[in-house]
Amino acid sequence: MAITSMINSAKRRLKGGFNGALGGLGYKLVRADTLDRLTTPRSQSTELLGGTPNGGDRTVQAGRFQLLPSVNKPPTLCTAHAPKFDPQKTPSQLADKIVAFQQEGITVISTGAEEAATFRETERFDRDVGNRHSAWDWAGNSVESYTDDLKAGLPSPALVDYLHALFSGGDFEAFFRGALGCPAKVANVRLVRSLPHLADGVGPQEWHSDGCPAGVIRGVLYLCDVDAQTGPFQYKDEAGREHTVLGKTGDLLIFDATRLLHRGSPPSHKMRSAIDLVFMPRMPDEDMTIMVVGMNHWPADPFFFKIPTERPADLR
Amino acid sequence: MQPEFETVLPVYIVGDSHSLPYRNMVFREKWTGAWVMARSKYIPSLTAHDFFNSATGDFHPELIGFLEYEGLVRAGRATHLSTNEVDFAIAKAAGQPVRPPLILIAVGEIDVRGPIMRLLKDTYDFVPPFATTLPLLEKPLVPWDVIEDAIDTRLGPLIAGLQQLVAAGFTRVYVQGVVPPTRNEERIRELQSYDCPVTVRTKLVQAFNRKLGAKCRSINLTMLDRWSALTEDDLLRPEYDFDGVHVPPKGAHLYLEALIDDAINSRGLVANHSRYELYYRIACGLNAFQATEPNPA
Amino acid sequence: MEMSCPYHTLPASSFWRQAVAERSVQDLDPHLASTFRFTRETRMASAGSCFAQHISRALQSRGYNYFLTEQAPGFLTPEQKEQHNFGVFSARYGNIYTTLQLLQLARRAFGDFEPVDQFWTDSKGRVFDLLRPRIAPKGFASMTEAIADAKQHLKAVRKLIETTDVFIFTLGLTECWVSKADNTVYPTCPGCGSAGEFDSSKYEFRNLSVAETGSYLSEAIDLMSAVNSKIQIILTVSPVPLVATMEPRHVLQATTYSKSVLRVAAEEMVRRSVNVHYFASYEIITGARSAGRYVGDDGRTITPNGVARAMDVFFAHFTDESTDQSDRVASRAATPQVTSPGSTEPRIVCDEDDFYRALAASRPK
Repeated sequence: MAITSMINSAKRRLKGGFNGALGGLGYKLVRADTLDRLTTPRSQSTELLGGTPNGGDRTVQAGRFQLLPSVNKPPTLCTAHAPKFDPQKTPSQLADKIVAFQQEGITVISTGAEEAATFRETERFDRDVGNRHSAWDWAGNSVESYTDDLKAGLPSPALVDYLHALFSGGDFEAFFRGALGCPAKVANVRLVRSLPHLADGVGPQEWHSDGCPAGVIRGVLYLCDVDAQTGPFQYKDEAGREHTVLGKTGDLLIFDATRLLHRGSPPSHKMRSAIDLVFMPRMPDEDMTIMVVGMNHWPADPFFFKIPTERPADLR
Repeated sequence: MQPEFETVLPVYIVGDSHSLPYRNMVFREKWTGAWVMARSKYIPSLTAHDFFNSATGDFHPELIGFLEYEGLVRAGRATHLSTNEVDFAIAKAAGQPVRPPLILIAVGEIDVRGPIMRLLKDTYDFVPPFATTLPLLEKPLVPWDVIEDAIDTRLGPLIAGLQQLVAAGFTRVYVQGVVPPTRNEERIRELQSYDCPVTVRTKLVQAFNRKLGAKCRSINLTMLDRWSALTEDDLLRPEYDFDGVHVPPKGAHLYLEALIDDAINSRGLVANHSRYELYYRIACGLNAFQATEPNPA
Repeated sequence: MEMSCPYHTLPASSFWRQAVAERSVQDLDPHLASTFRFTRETRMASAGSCFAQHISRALQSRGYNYFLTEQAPGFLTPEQKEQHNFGVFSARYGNIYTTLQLLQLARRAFGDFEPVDQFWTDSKGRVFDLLRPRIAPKGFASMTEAIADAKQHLKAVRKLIETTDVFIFTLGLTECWVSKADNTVYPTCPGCGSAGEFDSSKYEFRNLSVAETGSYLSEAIDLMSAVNSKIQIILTVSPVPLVATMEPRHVLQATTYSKSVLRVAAEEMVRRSVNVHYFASYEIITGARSAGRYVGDDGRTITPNGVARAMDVFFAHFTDESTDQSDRVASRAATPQVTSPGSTEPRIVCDEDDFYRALAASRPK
């Protein structure tokens, strides 16, 4: 996303308040800036090992007081180590979904519509998108909220249990093994309610690429029917064509948020309720877990991190 | 009863004597309640001009020494991005998240108080290209372009060095703006062996900081600016004048707070993609460290 | 011829045959013995057109007391000094081409005139002083700086007028551009050089008449003499032809007109005031005897030999070194002097380069 358009968007937001404008820009910069601005030009390949700038190749020596270049960039494809899926060899209920994901970078899986509808009514969307779980070892949103058009919420224990059961099931185990190449755990669950508005989208409602680390993919579980007025998920394919994903209550979109330019389009007339999910690789000997970390995205270091604590809403 | 302990959030501070007020500083930051600890290195007489040598690609030796001592650099590479098995083992033994480190560079004051201020002394004044409350003295004027050239000459190596730091993977580098100068003219006479009015000295620092800030922004870094907190009517508040040159630790704390306030909202830079690649490969049952040694020629 | 003929008593210098026809170019000196001489202690100031820079340079290089009231900071490199116009003239007024420009400068220095339209800001926010368009190489960084510099400059001009012993002024042009609002005269047409934008509603062309040129010069001299009773003024007319004319006539005609008007004005001042003297650089360079020897192939550029000859004659007549000059004059005249490509001589700052560039830029492609 061009910097110019980000800035223009922020300028338009100035009419809605200075903080909102900066927050919108700040969100975008946090999510996508490492791709566009902060990282140095690199080759298409993101191989890290064997002849790479980050320590694999020891033939290049630095002078005594020099530093060699090192790159900290997300990959262009977050599922590079998933072997090519052959549904003939690995039958699965979600085999076609795995194939679709590998081909398109996105797939839609139907989950329990009744449960989703219930959660839509029972979950609390009572927070703004300010990050009350800011932590030094997590990538995440700014402390301050950047928009009033989005409401967020933390999942209830019942929802967490439901999701744990859902993703621990055999179908999803197989799906993640096929799509990622390894089992997955949930790095974050957050409730997001988009209020209808006519202004341009801000933050996740703007076109963006997440810059997810390797092995990290995203999910959006619709808690309501999503039509053209409800702000459906949109993405652009490799040819640049726009796709709109309408759906029913309970539909789960799983996508490679780095590979696909995407947005939750701003709902124009109806409210949209959904669950925002982050999936990350899970070690073979690790149990499936669901983490709830507010408006954070993923740990800074997948090897070592703590679950961040929540701070009071009024702390500035 | 088990003794309680915590690990802290280190901020690595390196520079001229303006890094000294940070020495052994520890405080709880207001956002997460984490303890922040300054790990500082004083490099005597370090200037922006000597920070980096563009011709040879060498940093000031003591800067590299500091980064190595703190484990941030090994064999010329940033350890936090290393996919080398040795660095992985070191990180595993430490058992703490490996994040791009927070680094604060404190240089520039000697560049201003030395070669640049010497041009003006008590003889000249200048008009900076920004609004200032400080009066223009009845002295011959030096064209701003000449002052700007002098500042650019001093800042060039620093900016080149900062670019190299970023290219080496140190993307969370901050630069401390030069502190406002003392109002004490006698102290300046004692230090410099010549006079230079406080209004001229202050405008020079303001001009230097503006250039420094703009150049930092151009390479996506942040210069920490606490001018309004440290000054009144653009002159250094007496309570922040420690010895005629430095601010006291409470003044340094203001800069560190500003760093923390910016860093807590800039955590798009914090993900360690090298470590994620290793993690992903291990989770997929691949050998993460295959071919870490170069193939024989 | 009868012995009562008044021409009989005139010196040889009054007769063309002896004074011009029978002299070689190198020997031709169109002066009588000067009634005014200055010494190395005399405070000398100068101003004028491009040609005037040769005089200021010669005074400095020959060790005379060239009076600078706007000194360059000592730490500036020679390049920086040249870029910022330090040392070109006694103060940083840039080239002064017309007598109106000289008068307005003097009046401004004493707070008697404040131009309405003096500063112009370009698209990059750099501010130019239209009365000194080349004084800051890239323009001033701010309006505050431009105004402060102008204020300091006028103070220096005032000090110069009040305290100099000698003021040498080279008259350059009669054609000029003025503000319709208050008659402020500009050294160059705004928009045709370093700075400004031409706007016919704001600026108009004027070609000063004999009366106007004379009266402005007279008023300027009177103002200077009133505040500095000991000032001696040396006038000279630049021999450099016009680079262009706005008059609807051939540039050669326009040049002849301008130089004639300026020569008349200079003569009238010499006749009117005992403290005004004339130096004949114009006659030296353009006189029939020299026949273009001191002018380059473009018919306009004064050759180094021409400049040297003029300076030698100047110092021969206005200093106490006259007895030493004849050898220097002869040897210099005999030796062709060409400025080598690698010469480190500071260049003469003329506005015509900018004029040509602006002209080329404004032509349809």
